[in-house]
Amino acid sequence: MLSSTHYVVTCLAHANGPALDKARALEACIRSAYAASFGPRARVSCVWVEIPAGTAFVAGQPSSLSSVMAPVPDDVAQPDREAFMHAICHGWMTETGCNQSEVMVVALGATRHGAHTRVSRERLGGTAAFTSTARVAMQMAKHRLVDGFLKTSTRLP
Amino acid sequence: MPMYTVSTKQPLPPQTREALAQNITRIHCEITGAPATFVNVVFWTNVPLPQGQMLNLFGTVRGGRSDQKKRRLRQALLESVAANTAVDLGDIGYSAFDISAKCVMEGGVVLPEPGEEERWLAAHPDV
Repeated sequence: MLSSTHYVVTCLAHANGPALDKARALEACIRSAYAASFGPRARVSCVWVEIPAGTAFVAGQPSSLSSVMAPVPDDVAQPDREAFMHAICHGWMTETGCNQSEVMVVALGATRHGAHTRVSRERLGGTAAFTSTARVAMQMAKHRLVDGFLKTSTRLP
Repeated sequence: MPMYTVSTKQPLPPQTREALAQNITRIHCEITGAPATFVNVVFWTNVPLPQGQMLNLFGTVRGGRSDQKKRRLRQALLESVAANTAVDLGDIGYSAFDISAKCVMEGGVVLPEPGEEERWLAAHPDV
């Protein structure tokens, strides 16, 4: 059943930016968007990836853009997908005070989203990938205990 | 979108990151016709890359472009990355993943399909 699907949402946000300060409120917005679009039983986990200063660019200039990778059911109708993306954008702007050009939402169908994740992970290699993944998991768990949400960084531990 | 992810073990110097981001942006725009404001570049470090790789470039891009254009893009990006970082071309990994424009919202609006950017920008001048 679609309503019991577990969605893992990845949010890239800047260090010292408003999004990470509001991470728990933003997670609530994201969960609310899923519930409104795909049913109250949709299970949602959010993973935050902190972007250190000076390591992200838009149009070749330093960027303040946050991005949200939020999978949706494969068979979602486009108007529903757009309503879902709008809900996340709106919640993000309300909570952080950012403008609409500072948040990007990507809502791929779950199968395509999974394929993207696999291709992205293929850039990791060897036994070091295993230990790196374990360190990331430990880092996220630590942040969950301390801050109340799962967080890692583009500077891997 | 596109979102280019540059992964290395050691962090690249700030000047190199900036130059690389600008060159990736320029090349992507020249070859695809996309506006520069669409092009995102993010640098990841301490990444355990596959054996033989010193740097990896992973692009998440809007689908709908020809294979020939994708090959040109790949070659130009790899040559630029090698020139900017002094990493041998053979030590750079590259992969790209096409996604549908209708799945991406930037500036509060769904992105246009490749080739429809001009009309889209005219309709959304604030984005």
